[in-house]
Amino acid sequence: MYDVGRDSRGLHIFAQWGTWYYCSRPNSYQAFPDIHGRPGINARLYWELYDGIPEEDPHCIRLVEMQLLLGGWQVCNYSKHQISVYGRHTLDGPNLICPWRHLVRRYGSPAVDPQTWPMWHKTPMRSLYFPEALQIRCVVLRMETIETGYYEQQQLVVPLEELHYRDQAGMEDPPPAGVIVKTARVFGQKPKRYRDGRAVILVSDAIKDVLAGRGFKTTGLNTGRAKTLAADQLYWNELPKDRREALDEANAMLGFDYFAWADDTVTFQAPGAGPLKKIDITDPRVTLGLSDDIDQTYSGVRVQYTNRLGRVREVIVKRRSAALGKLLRATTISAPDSIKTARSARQVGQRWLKDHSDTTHSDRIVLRGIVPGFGDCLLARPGWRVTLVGARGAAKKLKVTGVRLRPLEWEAELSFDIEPWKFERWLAANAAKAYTVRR
Amino acid sequence: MALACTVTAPLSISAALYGGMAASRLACQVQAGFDVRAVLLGETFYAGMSCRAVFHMAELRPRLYGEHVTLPEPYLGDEDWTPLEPDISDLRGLSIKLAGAELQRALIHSLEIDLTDRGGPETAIMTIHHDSRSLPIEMLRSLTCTYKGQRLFKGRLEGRTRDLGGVMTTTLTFKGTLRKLQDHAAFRTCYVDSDLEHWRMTQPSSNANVNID
Repeated sequence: MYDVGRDSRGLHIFAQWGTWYYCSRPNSYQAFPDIHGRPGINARLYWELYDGIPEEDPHCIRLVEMQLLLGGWQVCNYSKHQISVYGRHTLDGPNLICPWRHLVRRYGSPAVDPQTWPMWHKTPMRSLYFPEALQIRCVVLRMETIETGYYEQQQLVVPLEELHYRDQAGMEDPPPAGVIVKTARVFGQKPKRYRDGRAVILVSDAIKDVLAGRGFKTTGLNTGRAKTLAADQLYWNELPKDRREALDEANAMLGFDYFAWADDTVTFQAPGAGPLKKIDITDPRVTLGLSDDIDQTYSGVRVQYTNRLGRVREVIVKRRSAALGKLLRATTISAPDSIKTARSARQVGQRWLKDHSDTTHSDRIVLRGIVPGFGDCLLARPGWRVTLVGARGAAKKLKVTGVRLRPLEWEAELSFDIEPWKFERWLAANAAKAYTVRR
Repeated sequence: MALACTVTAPLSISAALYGGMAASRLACQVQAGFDVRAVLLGETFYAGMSCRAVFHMAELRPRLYGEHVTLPEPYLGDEDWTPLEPDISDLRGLSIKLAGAELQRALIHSLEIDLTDRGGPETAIMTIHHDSRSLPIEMLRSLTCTYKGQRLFKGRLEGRTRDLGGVMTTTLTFKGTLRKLQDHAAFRTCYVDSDLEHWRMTQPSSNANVNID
């Protein structure tokens, strides 16, 4: 009656190719149970909130946006298959809700050769909402066989015994049938913003939420990059982690300075937006301790990355550095996981060298009393920018990153640790899959 | 016989001369941005006015405690010249409060406040000439430092150490307002997760799998 044919692999759910679910296992293929069974045999994928660890806070899944690839050459010969998405409270619990069910019929006509037919079909992006009252904490994607309509025995080019999926890196060697999760975005909160019908989580909204948990309000987050930067990966489920770490992690994408001068308000300031002050280094109240060094200055970098086949590759990028002249000073860095091609790896190297081709300034300046052009030294604040007057070659604007006040001696010590913050900001945004949305 | 004279420029010197003593003694004191003491040594005052004055100048900068005497403005000459040391008499409006009560500056040995561009007021370390054991902890729980109407620091007590060196001092460490965010290292939340690695294929056991579909 029901027979999946000579294929002993049954129905399969494969994740996106790049994630290497099966291919990274010692046994490249793991069969699902009861592969020769009757209709109703299924395979599942799970996403569980906090890996199933009980949580006191009433967090739950509110929305899942997913896009699937359905098909496979066996789908051309057999039908029907059914895709279902369930919501559960726990992994082993009953299905509480089924927001989406989709019947996968045979693609193409019997006269079409399945090997040449575009066998994989992408579904449109689905937005599946889960009501808060159900407290859904686990999402199940299930594929099951409903019925088989056998048209013709598919002649395999490669014997089944030799058909492995170890080297799958594209659609050249597709599985017989299955569903590929192309993209999936799970939201732990109901989104507040939408762009083009797609839920959007702004980084600034996440920062506000992190601070609101301890009673802080925010100001200054409606400017610049904070208005448009959204992220696709803001999931903190590892302990121990406190809100300060989460705040720094999210703010690293913006590169904003933030200050808690008041009891309940945190003020954010875009980089480079601080007031500009002048310091005359010939003033007797100013003690200068600036120094340039080339410890972090490079004119070349070797970028290692992993290509789509999982092999480690590297590219060499050079950039002329005025600080180093003809001296070649290089190091090796690792590109983020999202970098798969040599071209993008070169871009990473160029970004990195852009931040590391100049000399770095360190040390500090000590001010005493009221300094003309700067003001009262005790009112100095981090985030200000300072122009040094009277020093050749030091006319660039330096950002004050730290201030040490000695009120009883009417003295302030300003620090100018210049970090390659642009590259760090790009790295943080890359890790969070951040993108800019239209307003 | 006592004779008093005053020399004005360039520094203000008050001198008191006492006659009839075996060794005449002239003491000059100037108090302001620095401390000057002068001693005149001579056989007799009447032997002439040739005398030698030795000025001992203090090397340390002044503290804000004690008596302050304001110096007259020094001769500036050209307009660009500014005094080397700040005139501490201008340092008004500085308020240091421990748990809401104003702290006497004479008790404070040192105070350092660290501000960063990631949070603003980060740490304040204050050393006081006092054995803090005699102070109840409620009196030390918070530090507020304001200057000219602006808050330099506000934070809560995080550490207290006693130094039993030459002088008994207590060092208090305060943390800024954002320290509240680090109180519980159990922050876990999900705004959005698009990482496909978090999808699992672990099949629950057939007994535990209750499917109602």
